[in-house]
Amino acid sequence: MMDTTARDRVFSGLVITFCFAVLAWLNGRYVGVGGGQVALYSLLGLALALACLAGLAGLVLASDAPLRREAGWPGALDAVGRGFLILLPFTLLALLAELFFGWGAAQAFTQAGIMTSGAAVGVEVMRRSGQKLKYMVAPMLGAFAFSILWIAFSALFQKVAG
Amino acid sequence: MEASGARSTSSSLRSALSMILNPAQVVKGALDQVPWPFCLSVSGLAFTLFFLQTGLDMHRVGTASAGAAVGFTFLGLAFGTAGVALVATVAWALARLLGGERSLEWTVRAFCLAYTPTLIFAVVGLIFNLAAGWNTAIAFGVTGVLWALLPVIAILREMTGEKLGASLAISTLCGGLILCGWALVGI
Repeated sequence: MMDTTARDRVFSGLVITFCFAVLAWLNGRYVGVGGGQVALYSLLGLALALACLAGLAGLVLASDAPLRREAGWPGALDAVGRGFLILLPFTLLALLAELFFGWGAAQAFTQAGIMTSGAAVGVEVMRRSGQKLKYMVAPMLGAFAFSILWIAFSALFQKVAG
Repeated sequence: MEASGARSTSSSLRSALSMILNPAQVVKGALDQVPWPFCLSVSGLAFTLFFLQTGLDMHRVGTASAGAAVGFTFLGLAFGTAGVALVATVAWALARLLGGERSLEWTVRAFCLAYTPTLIFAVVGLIFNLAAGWNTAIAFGVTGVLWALLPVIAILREMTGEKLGASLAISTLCGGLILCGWALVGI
């Protein structure tokens, strides 16, 4: 039997993977041409997102001595996991905007989702390490770098795929 | 008297800005000190400027007249005040079903102040719209509305006793209502 923490971790992981898979697919419809390219973009986008989340957890851990001392790597992953759960409303609203309204704004939803989730990670870290705003800096910078990487990846894919 | 008024305004501004990155702290304490006209003016102004940009974008591409653009602006004011209050009421009713004990008045004030990031995005968007001639309603306006989800989720977590799943579900509904309301204007 899994304990509550382990179950929460698996649940968060599944929700976040679902969100990035959907967002990558929505973005891929504009970046790729044809089903094959959209699928490839979605897979690569998902892999990039998961790698960035691991990088973000590493950055949080490196910048936060109390968290490093008391909770270590699992604590940093938990903070990132709980923070990025708020990607769910962004994903569902992106689906509404794209499939129902046809706004062509998947990129805007993705960027806003990543940056806001970064801020939510900061809030989680602050909650664990004392309410000091300095703990917000690393998650926000990490999320900013993540969103820039996502844009660069999309531009590169579009260029390579032609 | 004047000094206390200035102190109150500066503390309200601080609370509004904290809503962007550290909303949990505001909803747990400082929100009670922020006067409701201030909260209402934040969301009112945010949506006024957002809808103004929508009108300007539509006027630029020839789908709305100058008069319609002005009309959108007033519609934005109504949306940012009455509309946001209505969405807050829906959230309050759902949170009550889950055992929430916060008052309706507290909920409306909190929701209005949650649109501080929208206001900032709307101001920056309007500058780009007027100075560079960009269409900014989606890039800045919708992005600003999405940024408000972070404080809205913090408010709902406070209202539902830290029930994250319920907070995410209600915030998705509230965000959907706001986006659908805005989309109706475009249609």
